[in-house]
Amino acid sequence: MKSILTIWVMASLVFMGCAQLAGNESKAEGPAPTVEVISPVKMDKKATTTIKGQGFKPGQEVNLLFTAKDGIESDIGYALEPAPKADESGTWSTTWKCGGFIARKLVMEGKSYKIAVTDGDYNPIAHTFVSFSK
Amino acid sequence: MAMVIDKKWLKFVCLSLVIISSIWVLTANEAAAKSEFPSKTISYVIPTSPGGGFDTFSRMIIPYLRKYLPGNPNIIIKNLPGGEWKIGINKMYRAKPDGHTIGILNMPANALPQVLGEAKYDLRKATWLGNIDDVTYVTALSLKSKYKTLEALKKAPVVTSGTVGLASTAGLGTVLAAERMGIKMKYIPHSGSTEAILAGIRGDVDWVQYPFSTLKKSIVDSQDLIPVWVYSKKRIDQIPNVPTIAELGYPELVDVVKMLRPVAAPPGLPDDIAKIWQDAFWKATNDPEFQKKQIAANASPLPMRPQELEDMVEGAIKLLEQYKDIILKHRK
Repeated sequence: MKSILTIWVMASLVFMGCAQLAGNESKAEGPAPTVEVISPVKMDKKATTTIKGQGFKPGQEVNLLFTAKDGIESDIGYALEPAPKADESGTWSTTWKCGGFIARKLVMEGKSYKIAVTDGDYNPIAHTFVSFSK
Repeated sequence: MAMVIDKKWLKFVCLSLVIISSIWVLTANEAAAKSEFPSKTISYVIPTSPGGGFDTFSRMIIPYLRKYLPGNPNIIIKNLPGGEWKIGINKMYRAKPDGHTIGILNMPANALPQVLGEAKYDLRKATWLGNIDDVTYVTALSLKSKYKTLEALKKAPVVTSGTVGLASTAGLGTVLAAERMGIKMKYIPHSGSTEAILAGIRGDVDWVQYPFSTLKKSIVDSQDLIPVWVYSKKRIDQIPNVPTIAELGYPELVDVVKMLRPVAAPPGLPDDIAKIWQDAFWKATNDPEFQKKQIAANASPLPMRPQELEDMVEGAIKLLEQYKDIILKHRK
């Protein structure tokens, strides 16, 4: 009986250890992803800016969330060209047509606003800040 | 003797484990079912660009929806402009019906593609959650227009109107109202309401017809446009001298030229999740603080129950079927 219990406990420990290692594996891959944006952006109704990311998994598709002055997050995917997708080296670059937020006064001059990079379920991966000026 | 006790003990332990694990599996499943919603960030689809009326009122209600949903979940806006609303509606309609994707609509206009057989959705099958407001329309004339009264408009050989298109309730209402009043109207499409109103101010078009909240700046504050009638049963306090369309002899147009901003989820949303959403919407749209903000933005709060919304959708489809020939004529 003791031997059965011993085998069961040992097997459980091995299983838990493997699970823990598997969980940590993805976290241990390369440097943490980062994102940067060309800022400040001119307060112009036709303004655009460039957003770049690095340290992502090759082929990884990401969403970008912009937090406007009301604190509400918006998926700005419709205004990005091209859609952000990491290349073989894990980097991506996209142009954001942000003039709509300026024209509709959803941003204010001199203030910083968050741009978050997320996965498909909007879990955060990295973030940066953008500001607007005349 | 010791061996006999061990076997009995082993049976007892095994039986206990089976019972305990069965109870655990059952309770875990029940708990999982209850906690499935909300389990991640919620997408709120807006089929227009940021900053317009639909975006503005959606941004306004999101904190209150979060307040009344269990767990105060994160809700993000997903603007999907283009395709005369169809891109955004299809995104919502075809999303997984798990409660994590909802979308705002423009009714009755969004029923038009369905009536014309151009839609890949059936609004009668959507899960209706709530309504944000009831939009009152005003017709305003350009200061530079030759026509200043309804009678003059009726006698005119052609009246030009600045609209965004028949996919909007403003454009649709313009066509239907002009037809009913016997005005020979030619509509000039613009990329947005701002551009259409500017065309009216410049005198490029004779007539614009938009929500009071959209036109207020031009008809009350700067008086760049002349309001001639309102599509409501009673006059608007801020423009008390402007008659209602009912006073002018067309009471039926009050129900034709109006717009609601209802919110829906995909068809097949499980009843328990639908109820969570509908309760949250009812509480959010009745929240005095939210309504105060709506009124300050010149909106008319109109919370609606799911059954009322289903009836509204059915009514909108029937209404548009009635005017189908007129609409098709103006689309050519």
